[in-house]
Amino acid sequence: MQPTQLYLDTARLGQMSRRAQQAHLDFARMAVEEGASQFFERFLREGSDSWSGNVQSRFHGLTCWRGISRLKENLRTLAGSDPELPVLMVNRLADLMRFASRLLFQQCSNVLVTDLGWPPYREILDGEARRAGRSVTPLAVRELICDSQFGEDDLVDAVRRRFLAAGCDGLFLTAVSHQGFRLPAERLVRALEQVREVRSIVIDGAQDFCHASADLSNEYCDLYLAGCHKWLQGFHPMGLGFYGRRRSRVMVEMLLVDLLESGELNDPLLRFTTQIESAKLDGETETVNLIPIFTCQGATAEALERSASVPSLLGMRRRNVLQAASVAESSGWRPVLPAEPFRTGIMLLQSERDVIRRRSHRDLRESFADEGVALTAYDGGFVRLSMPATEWQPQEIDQLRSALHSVA
Amino acid sequence: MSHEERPYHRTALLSFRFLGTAVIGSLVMALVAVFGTAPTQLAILGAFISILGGLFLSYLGQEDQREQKRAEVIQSLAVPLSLASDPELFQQYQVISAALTALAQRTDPILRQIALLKLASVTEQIDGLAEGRIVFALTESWRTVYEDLLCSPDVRRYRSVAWVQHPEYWQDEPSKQSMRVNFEAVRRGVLVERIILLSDELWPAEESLPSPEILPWIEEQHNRGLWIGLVRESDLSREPDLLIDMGIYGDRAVGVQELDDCCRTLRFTLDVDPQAVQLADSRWKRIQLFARSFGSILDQEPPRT
Repeated sequence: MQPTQLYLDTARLGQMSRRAQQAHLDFARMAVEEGASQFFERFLREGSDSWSGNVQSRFHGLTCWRGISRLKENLRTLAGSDPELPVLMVNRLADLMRFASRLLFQQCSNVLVTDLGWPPYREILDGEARRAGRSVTPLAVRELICDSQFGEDDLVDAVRRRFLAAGCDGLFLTAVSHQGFRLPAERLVRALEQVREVRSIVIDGAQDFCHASADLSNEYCDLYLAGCHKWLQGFHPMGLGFYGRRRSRVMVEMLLVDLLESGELNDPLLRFTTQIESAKLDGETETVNLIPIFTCQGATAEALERSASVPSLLGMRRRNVLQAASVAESSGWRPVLPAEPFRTGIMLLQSERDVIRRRSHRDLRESFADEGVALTAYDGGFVRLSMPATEWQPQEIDQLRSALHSVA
Repeated sequence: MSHEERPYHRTALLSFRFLGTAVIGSLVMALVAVFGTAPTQLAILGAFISILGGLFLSYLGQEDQREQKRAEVIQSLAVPLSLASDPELFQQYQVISAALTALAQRTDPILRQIALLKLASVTEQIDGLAEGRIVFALTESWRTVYEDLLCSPDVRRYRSVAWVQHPEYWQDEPSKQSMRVNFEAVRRGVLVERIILLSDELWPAEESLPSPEILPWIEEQHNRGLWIGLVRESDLSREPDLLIDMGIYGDRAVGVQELDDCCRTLRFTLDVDPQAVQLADSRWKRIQLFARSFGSILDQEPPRT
């Protein structure tokens, strides 16, 4: 197998950004030189402001670190919202989803979900619904939004009708699905709130954050789930939970404290960051993997310094989708794209040939890896490509064409 | 082969009553037939038949009375018979019966008078219990039943209407304990929804939020995960039957609380009758039409600094 020449798998895990890499390398060097010294602990709490010039050049990749609070402010800025509002940080995204489910079913008896959700998250939601004796109402939108005539107004209408007819009072929406289908989350929330109270709203923004929109300036939801290891390119997995809507901010914090104290929520990073912000460390810090917060800070700093905004990068990725679709069609692959309003920088292709469709997803992925292309494959001959943020280079297009031909 | 002794039953034809009466009657008729004229014989036969008829009718009358008495006895046995399958209640029945029997031996007229009054009150309470109603008067002990209900595994939804006329509402220690049980219920996954009816003093029309005297109590419930709706009392001026303090425990029971001016319980009535629960449910839905969710009210407020 040859090394990857064309990486198109950001939707699974983004390549580490340059600043994240620098933070990673310098953190490793600090780990060798300082271990868990007081120097390190002070740096962790206060950042690098008090470092001499010599130390700063020794650990240059970590100079953007200003403490947990500053990292959270930067993440908030990236999400377009008030930097003073809180952010949760977790090692395990499943824990964050479990927390989100508890939050939803505290006040809701019936939560509406779409069929665009990531299956493991849906399982967690269903599990919590069963525990609490509540309901989940599914709405199939995937097929609808694949119809080229289907527009955003039609989607809003369909969601509203289902929400009202089923007597729903809560909402769990996937802003961008793992297969690249986008929902206008804020618009849907507002449309529903005009006709009935929506008691609790959780948005899965894992594929949305730093890719499609993630504009939380209006704090339209009670909890927005994201991660820094996909489109933010922090690489090391770390889950993020943005909250702070006026009606639910204290509720979220009280539920969090309750679950941490009872041990029902036991994420080490969440516990650590909560404690360090309240200056109440309990002596378990040595067991927490801290590398994700530093690489996240590096990636965030790089993203904030970028001149292009997320919407303009999305525009570029969508143009790349069209170009890749054209290449795919001439190479024996059928693009599976939603209607134009629902497109993102992720695209699905399906092989036209039955023999390819019968291959396992592992085989398919390996075949593309043998051609130097990294992507995600699914059973049924589907592959998922995450578009680059820059215009296709001729050699990249050639490589993609060649790989699609070879595998087909 | 067993050789059990079978009980001996002598046929009625060999009984003294039958043989004696038949022999005497036959001898009399034989003497009349030998020594009497035909009209005399007829008259005596007629007399015997009349006597027989009269005896039969008298027997029927007595049989009616016996039947009535048997019915009364059986009915008086019906109560203990149906209770026999319920050992706990049957024990109480026996204790009460024994006490009443002992009371009947007392002849003091004043004691008797008071006893009858108290028994009338007890009878009324037992009647209420039989209809599925438990009344607690002038006591906070209803909270034990209330808390048991909220902790019951088959109560997954608790809807409550709190009529708050005074800032001291549910601020005493027993109430705080009951509120903690509410929070624990939410923690266990019970959906707790409370509509709070506020007097205009506690939520003036020109204010977006209730007064500071009651706001922390409301906020705490909201922040603990209860769904809270607010209604101004004046909005219900045309629907006075909606001004009520009640709780609906799943679809099991409904409780109605009456308070005095100092927010102490005057009476708490728990009703498990399905019709009462249905009535409470429709009342709840009517009140909900007037309610604004506290969450939506908070969303209109500026962010807290």
